[in-house]
Amino acid sequence: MLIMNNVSRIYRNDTIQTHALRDFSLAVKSGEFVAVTGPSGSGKSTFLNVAGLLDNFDQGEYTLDGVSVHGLKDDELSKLRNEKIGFIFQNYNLIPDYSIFDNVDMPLRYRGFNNAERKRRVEQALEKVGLASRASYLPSQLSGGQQQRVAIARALAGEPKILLADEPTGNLDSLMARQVMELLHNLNKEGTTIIMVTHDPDQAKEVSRNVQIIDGEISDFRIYAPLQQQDAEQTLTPAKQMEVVDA
Amino acid sequence: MLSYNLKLALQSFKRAPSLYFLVLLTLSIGVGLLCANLALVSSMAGDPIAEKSDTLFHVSMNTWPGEQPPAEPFHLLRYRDAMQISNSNIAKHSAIFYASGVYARDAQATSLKRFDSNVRATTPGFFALTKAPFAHGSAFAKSSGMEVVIGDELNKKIFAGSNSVGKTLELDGELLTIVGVLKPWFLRPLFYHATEGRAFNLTDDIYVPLETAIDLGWSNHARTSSTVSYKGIEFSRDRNVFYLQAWVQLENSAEQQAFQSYLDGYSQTLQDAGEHPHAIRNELRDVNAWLAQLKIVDQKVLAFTLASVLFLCVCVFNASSLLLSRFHSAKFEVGLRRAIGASNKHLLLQGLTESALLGLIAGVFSLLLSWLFLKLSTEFLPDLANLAVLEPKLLLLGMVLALCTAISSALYPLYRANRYTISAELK
Amino acid sequence: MNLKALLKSLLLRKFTTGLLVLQLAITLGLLVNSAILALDTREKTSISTGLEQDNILIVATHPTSGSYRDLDYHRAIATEDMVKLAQLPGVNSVSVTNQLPIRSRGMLSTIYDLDNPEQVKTDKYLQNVKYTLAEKGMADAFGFSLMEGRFLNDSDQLDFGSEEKRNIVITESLKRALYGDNSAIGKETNNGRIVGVINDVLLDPTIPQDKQYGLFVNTMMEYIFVGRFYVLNVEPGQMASVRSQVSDTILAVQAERDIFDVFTMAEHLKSFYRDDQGLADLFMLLCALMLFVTAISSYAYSQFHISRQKKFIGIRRALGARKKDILLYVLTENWLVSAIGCMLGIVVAFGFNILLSQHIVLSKPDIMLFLLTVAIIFISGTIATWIPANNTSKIAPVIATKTV
Repeated sequence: MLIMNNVSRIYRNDTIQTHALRDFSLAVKSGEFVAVTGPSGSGKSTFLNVAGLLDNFDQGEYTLDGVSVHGLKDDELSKLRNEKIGFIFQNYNLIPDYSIFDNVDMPLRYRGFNNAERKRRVEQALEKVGLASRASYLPSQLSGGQQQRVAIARALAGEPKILLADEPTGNLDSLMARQVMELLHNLNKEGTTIIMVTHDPDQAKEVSRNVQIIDGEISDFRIYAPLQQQDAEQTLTPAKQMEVVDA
Repeated sequence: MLSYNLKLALQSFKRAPSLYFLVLLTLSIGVGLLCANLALVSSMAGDPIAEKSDTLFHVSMNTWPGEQPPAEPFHLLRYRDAMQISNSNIAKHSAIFYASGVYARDAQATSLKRFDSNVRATTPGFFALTKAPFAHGSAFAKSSGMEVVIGDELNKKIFAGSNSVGKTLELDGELLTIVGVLKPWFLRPLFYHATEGRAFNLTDDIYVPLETAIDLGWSNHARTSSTVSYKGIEFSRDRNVFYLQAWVQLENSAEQQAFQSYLDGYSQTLQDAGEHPHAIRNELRDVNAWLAQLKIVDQKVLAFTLASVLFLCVCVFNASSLLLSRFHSAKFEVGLRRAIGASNKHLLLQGLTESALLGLIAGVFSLLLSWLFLKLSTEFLPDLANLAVLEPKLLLLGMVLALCTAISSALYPLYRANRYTISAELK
Repeated sequence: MNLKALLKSLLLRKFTTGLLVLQLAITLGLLVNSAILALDTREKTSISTGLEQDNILIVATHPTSGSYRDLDYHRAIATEDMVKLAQLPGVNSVSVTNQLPIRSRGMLSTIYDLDNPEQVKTDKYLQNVKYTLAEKGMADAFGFSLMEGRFLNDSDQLDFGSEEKRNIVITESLKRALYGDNSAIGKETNNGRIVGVINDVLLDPTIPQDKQYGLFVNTMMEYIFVGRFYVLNVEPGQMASVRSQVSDTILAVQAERDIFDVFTMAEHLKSFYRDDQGLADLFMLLCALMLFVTAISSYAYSQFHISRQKKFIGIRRALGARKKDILLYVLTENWLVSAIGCMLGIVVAFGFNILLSQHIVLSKPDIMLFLLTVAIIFISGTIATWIPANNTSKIAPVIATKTV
């Protein structure tokens, strides 16, 4: 589903250059629930940005759902984000001027669905997160947990291949956080691939795999062994990569 | 505190120079344009002789002997009616006149160059009534005689501005002696002859005794109405030729009433003799009532003034939205100041200082611009040339207007800026 | 584009949106009325005058010397002037007159048929009929065409001072007013016997086209002291050369003259409407300024709004909006505001039109003008919004994950 090979992301300014990611390699299979942990400033945000095609990278290769991302045009990246990725942000990132319905509807508009299709998908997604009755509310009229569920609905409505969650419970109290985590686990059980950045070790334990990043490098793998260097070198074409990873 | 606020304001200007430049530009264009128009309107609607305008009266009479009376307000009089006014001793001063034109040269000069000159053929009371300012010499004393008073401009043209009293002018082949020279004399509007579209003409070049002008056959250059044909103005005295205008100075309402009944009595005798076919209507109007009656304010300028009011609105809205974005981007600083103890009042005062400073600068620019717009509007409407003057009161108005618009543009943005919560901005 | 949601979000910033909408509305109102003024003026100056205005040259002059008070001298000079002017190559004919067509008021007279003096009461225009002093050359000089009878000739010029009945020529509309479809030849009026009827020319543009009443009398030479205008009919193509010679020709006959002006009839028409043109130009100038200021506002509005929306633009980008979607989003916002502004602008335009017509004469707005000015508003708004819109589309999607 997602393969990164020796991906590096370097931030430069006049005097210093910082390796936010250094020769970073990771493969995530379809249906996995991966937690990415690490201390603040370790590069986990950069990883998520690169993984979510929000930020570009300087070296290495990255293949998402069989498509090599390197060298794609901005419009093509937008299309990939829109169709294959669902984002869940720490601070929900709902558009405050828009109703719940319009928020969930927004990415579908960019997808070009017709009215009926969009309506069906929005209602379905809101149903799934249990907020169908609040469709006409503004985000500010909902609790934090509810807002995050709206964000999840927005991510789901496009039926993405992969959900990227950035500290999804970071701004929530424990009760609401548990509800959100349950929702994510249920989604994973239904087959959605999820990568979640978190600093909560308890949450990290509940998932199928845990990756820890320190100083832009993967320092610790649990459950699965690290991807072999040779394997990565063999995987020149996206198709082959798919075989290697999903085999 | 004021100097500190001024310093902050200057810093703020420096931080976003292009934005403040745009605010300044739009406000000064808006104010400048409106100010230029108001200058024209105020020139047109002004009282040209404020110290005595309520004692000077224009005389209208409807002694027209024909069936169809000319259009109101019957401002033209025939010679015999005008003499009736002139002969009355009720009025302190009276002036009977008509407008003519001649070509003038210094009779002693070798050059044959002659200057086109506007002539006021008038009874001598004109000078005291209108308070014409003399530089040299004095008015002529009688309605006849080969004497003239000349205006400053003609004196400059022919005699290079020197004291020309005693010199002789050749006017259309006749020799007349100068007895008086006027100082530069501006009447806006030219109240004594505001009809026939002359309200914004300059004062005359040559003032000549009425009887002299009639005898010389100097034709009337304004409107003449007559029920008979006649060969020239020299034959007009005993005919129904209406071309003279009359003004009288009446000091109080008693004099006014006395004069009114004097006129009405005269008309009654005409009527009794069967020479006054229409109902008697003798009307006295003081300067302002007369000018109002004539509706001399240029309607085109009024129309454009309306448009420039709208334009100023747009400019204020524009400045307001620009300032809103400026204050918004400075909200972090506002939050910081609030956090370290500045009260809402402090910040409001600072904002007001800033916009007042802005208004003052805009005021200076707008005065320059209004001067420019005045020049420009006389390009487009040349008739206004004599009116395009920026008087001190207009300069003051411009400054006040700029100040008000600048402050009103800033009011809502300031109100908004002061509502930003401290914590939200410093998070 | 989700218009409903966009509209809702516009409503959430009522103040700034309201300001811009008002500005746009006022701008539209001014644009519409300025366009009306410009079109009205163009219509006025392109009106048919009944004259070959490009081939008629006028010389306005006045003697400066007292010698001209001797009318025989004046007549002799005027006659010689006309002979010399007629000799200029390219000049077809020359005449002299006291007043020109295309001028309001002037020398006027009442006219009625002697058998029917009540006419003046039913048609007030008969009280102020343009009374033009003519001589035999005038019909050729102005290019009048004869509808009936003949133009004035030497036989119509009576002895000076004669009290005899004069012969007159009248314009066609005056003939209609006096005699309807009947012939006017030989009819007696208070001003004399009618010997000819000429086509209507635009004598006074301030009165209706079918009331261009005029009468012509062959007394110009008798009252030569009011003969201020020489009228020259010039061969097409010769105007420039004739024009450059007329002043010298006249001054060579006698130098003590003031020549105020030399102008064609076409220029005379233009100068009649000089103030209308001037006002229309001033309004156009104001329009340009207002469009400029409103464009600044549109720019500032987008810029300000976007500076507050950076994060949300980033979110949109993260969720799959392409650059052009963002561009379109920002522009659509401007278009929406413009559309609301234009709708309100229709009201402003009518209101302003009514307000202006208290002071000046102008037509009512029509649909084409609205469409035209709305297009101008949209184009200028789009140009003004383009820069912020384009900058916005460059906002990196990564901003979405930053916690600001």
